[in-house]
Amino acid sequence: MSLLYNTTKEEDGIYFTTDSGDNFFAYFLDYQLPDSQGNIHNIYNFDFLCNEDFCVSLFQKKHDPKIRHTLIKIISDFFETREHAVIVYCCFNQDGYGRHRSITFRKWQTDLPAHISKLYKATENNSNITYSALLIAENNPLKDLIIEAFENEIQSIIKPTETEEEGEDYQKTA
Amino acid sequence: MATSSNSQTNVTSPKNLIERIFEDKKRILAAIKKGEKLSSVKGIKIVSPL
Repeated sequence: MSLLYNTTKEEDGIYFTTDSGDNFFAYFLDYQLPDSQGNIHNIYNFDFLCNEDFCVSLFQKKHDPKIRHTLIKIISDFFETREHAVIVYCCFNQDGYGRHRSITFRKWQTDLPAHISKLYKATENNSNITYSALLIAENNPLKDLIIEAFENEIQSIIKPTETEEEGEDYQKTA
Repeated sequence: MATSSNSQTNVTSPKNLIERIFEDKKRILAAIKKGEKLSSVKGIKIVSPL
């Protein structure tokens, strides 16, 4: 039995339907991130919806490992076609599930290829905590500049907050 | 100045990256809930998987 769902690629993203009938839609958006040396880097925001929503329902359903494997495969494929891609995934807390999503996504990211480095940030603005993850290839020649630029972006808007979720790659923002 | 195939110069971003992602995400959700395609959302740059 396959560990992956069959996906359909369309112009705007990638679709798949789970065994329980949930419809997923994953997409990447292209943003630009300036660094301290005047370069502009392309940063790709990955996100997905489940049944036309940002997946609150995931935490109310029976665990389905094929969802994890399929979404991580989508990200891995993206890195295969764009060797030096930089991906950012943000978990906003407007619905109170931001931390849940971030914990789940961090577990899933352990399945990414070993050469993909992960940088996690938890930041607070007006009592709303945003959890973000930056995924970048270890061999990206501009890795240090991009990470610095990403950290500057976060520092520029939000008061950093400490979290207890320090992993191997976690970097404090305070 | 460092360069790569992933970089351009002399382009400025009007807003913070995280703020833009947050605002775009809200607009995307509103569009999807109305049955519209992602491509109907203005001001975002979709990376086509095709």
